Amino acid sequence: MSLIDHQRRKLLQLMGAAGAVGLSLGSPLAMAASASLAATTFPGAWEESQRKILLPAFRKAAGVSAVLTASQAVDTLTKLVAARNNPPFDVVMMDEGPYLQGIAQGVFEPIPAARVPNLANLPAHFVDPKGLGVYVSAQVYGIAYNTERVKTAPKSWNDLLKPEFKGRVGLVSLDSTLGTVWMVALAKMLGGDEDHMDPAFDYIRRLMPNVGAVAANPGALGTLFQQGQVDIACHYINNVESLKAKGVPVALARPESNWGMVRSTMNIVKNTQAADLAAAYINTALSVEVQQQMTSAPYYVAPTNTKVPFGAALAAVAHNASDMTSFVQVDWARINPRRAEYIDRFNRLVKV
Amino acid sequence: MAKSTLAASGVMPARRTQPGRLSFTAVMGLMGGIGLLMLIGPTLIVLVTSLTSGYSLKFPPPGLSLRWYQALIFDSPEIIDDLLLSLKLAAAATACATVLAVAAAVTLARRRTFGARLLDSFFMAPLTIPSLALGLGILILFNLESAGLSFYSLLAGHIALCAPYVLYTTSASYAQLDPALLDSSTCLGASSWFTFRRVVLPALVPGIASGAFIAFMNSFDNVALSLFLSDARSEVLPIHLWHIIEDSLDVRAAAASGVLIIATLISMLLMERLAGLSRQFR
Amino acid sequence: MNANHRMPRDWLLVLPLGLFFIAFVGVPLLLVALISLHNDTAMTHFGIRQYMVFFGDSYNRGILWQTLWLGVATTLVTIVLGYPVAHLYVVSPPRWRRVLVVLILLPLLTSSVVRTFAWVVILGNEGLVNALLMALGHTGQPVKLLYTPLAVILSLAQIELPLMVLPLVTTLTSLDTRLPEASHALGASSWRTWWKITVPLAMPGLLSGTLLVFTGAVSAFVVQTLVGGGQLMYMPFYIYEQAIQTQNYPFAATLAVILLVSVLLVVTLLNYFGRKTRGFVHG
Repeated sequence: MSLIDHQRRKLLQLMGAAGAVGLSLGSPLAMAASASLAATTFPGAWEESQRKILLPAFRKAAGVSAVLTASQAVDTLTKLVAARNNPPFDVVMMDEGPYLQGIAQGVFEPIPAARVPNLANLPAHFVDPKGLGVYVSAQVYGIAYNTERVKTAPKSWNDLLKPEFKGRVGLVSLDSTLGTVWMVALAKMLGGDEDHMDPAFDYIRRLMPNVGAVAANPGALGTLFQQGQVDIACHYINNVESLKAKGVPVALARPESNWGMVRSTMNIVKNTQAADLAAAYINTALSVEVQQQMTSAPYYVAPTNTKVPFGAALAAVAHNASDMTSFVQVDWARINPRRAEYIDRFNRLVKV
Repeated sequence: MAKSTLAASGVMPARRTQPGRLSFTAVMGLMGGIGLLMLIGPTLIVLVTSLTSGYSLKFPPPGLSLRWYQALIFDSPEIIDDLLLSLKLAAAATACATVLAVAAAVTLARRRTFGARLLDSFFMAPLTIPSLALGLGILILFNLESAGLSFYSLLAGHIALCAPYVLYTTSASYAQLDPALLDSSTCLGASSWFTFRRVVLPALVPGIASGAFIAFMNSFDNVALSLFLSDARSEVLPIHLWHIIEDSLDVRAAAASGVLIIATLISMLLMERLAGLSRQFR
Repeated sequence: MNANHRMPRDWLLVLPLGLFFIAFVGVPLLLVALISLHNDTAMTHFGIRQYMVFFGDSYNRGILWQTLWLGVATTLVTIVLGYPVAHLYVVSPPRWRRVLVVLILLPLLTSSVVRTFAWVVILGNEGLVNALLMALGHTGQPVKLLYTPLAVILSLAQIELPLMVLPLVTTLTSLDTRLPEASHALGASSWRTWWKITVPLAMPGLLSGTLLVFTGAVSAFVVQTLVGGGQLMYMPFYIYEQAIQTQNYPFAATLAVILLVSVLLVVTLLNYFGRKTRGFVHG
């Protein structure tokens, strides 16, 4: 064979050998991943804020790094149920609805109070009686709108139906908590409640000509604002403020029917291999330092630790936890059994 | 040569006087140009967008800067982790698939029996079957065995995905092998194994390498299988990029894309040089 | 004499891949078919209820139809754009051919997420097309291009274009050039020659490309979801949603089987036509 062919062959053989070495390295590396903590968070501003604030604090406190996966609460729950004996995560973040479902399905482990001293700083009703979960935050949602393109601040959910918003309203899928709680808020505004959701679906049907895009989750909804694909939608305060910090001209307005509130929990997964690390993670999330940072700009997450005052930015919305009890809330025990049905009904309504 | 002789002898009308020639060339040229623009345009646009100095994906970008590449390299350990996982997975899957497929290729090539053709279709199936269906099936299989998902469930799916490419290119290479070489080797007293190792395999190497390269790129890029089969602890890079694009529109996604494009281009040119990659398609 | 000795040992070489494929391709597909034949999510009764539910609901049929139509539309666009590119390749001198090969192969090997991302940048309200339209004064407000069926078709067409161009290139380069020449010699116009001689001879490549593009477009999960948005639902995402989000495995398996069967039907049809058109070449 010619010299060039010979060299070519040698090089290819070398590459083949490198590949074989790579393969042999593969297995131990794949195993090493389990030495850290696997945690979940919500996509969007939550992931951003926790990567910036919680992960470094946890690393300092426990000396181990956490691997964070963004996943909506409903999706996380299905993954936990699907792999009970060998769960993919050690500690998860849940919204109220899936949290209650998770307790019913028995996928959570009691949080050891001894390892989570910060539990003592929470009001009693923020901790599950059996210790299966703890509320780490409350979030507020309202009418988010693009201040450059929407000249007058909207005052009510009914404003979204106005013809001037044709093709500019954003929706989020009912797979997310945001979508679900908004539907309940709409139902309540229109004379229904958790068991009578028809007024809300009727509203969506009337809203369809105005809908510009449907996002898969709140993070994606924020992206739609960022790209100018939608100008008005129901959204969380922490996502809106995070967008503002990136230079997107967006603001949150209080609907006439009042702000809405959603609480999020953290739970230790049953059969986890890293229960101690999980407890330390939760402890860090409840600590004064972390909650203080989360409540200030640009995240404005309402704290649950009583030692952390509501920051000045949140004061525009509420001054303390008792203020928020008047906000629109959802009785998840009534929504959960029919949630799949609502998701399907919503999909059929919004699909083009 | 035949053409010009015919034209010169006046038998065939010279090219220029053919009716409809101008319109034909114009239309083909225009459409071809649009096609080429469509092929390469998006890639260029991603590269330009990755150099934006702003926060959003506005095009044209407000200014140029390398900040997102810096953010990617220095500030994104989770993206780097996913990149390494994807590379590892693709390398492992390609290596295993190559060994399995080459063995099968030399056996099945040149056989026209019904059994051989059936096996061939079976081995090529992952190319036409939506990998979602395959991913769902393997997921159900692992769930039934209570095996749980892990790197190995993902690997199994990816090996099945990679094998057809290597099989195809190796078979094509083998088909071009001169049978006289094999016969003369045997006549001169070499054993089958010696013939295989010293005569067949070296000739097949470009074909195998091309197939392995294409298989590697496909495995690296695959989303459908990884969605169903990865164990939720670790994300492969394409899925992570997808989440970034959908959920936060972080411009680092553009920087990561830029890196991938350049890496693909370089490795493609390398493979063209070393193994004549494009010959597989011509 | 040697052949007989070699036979059993040769088939031994096929065994590893064969066993692997039976375990990880054959069995999984059978499982999917089996799971789809259960009447309820808890999988206690056998039956074809899932199929009845699917075909009885216009919403479901609509999703299947929309997915198949996406495949057809994408294929048509790639034929219209891909044939000229292949033609350009064939008439180019070798130096240009090298460049063209890189241009054609690079998109094929680049990650599909990257290419889809490009289309989000191009079609977005702040993207390239809208910037052009507004600069040309066509419109004051951005036109909604992203999250429409047209956007999905266009981006899919670009992503699948190499898969149409390459088989066409293979076929056209091996074309016997004496046939079109004879046609010209007999006085036919360029268009007539192309339509009556070249296109029929290029059929095998055309059908090969159609097969690849159609199957690719129908299963293109990433593009359909990223460019289609939350309002457009296609079979691939439906399968994912039912399996992973709703955990309704029997229905998800049903969807997978229906998608699979549709794809195989089209593949069989194309292969059938492919065999017939080879007659054009050899008479």
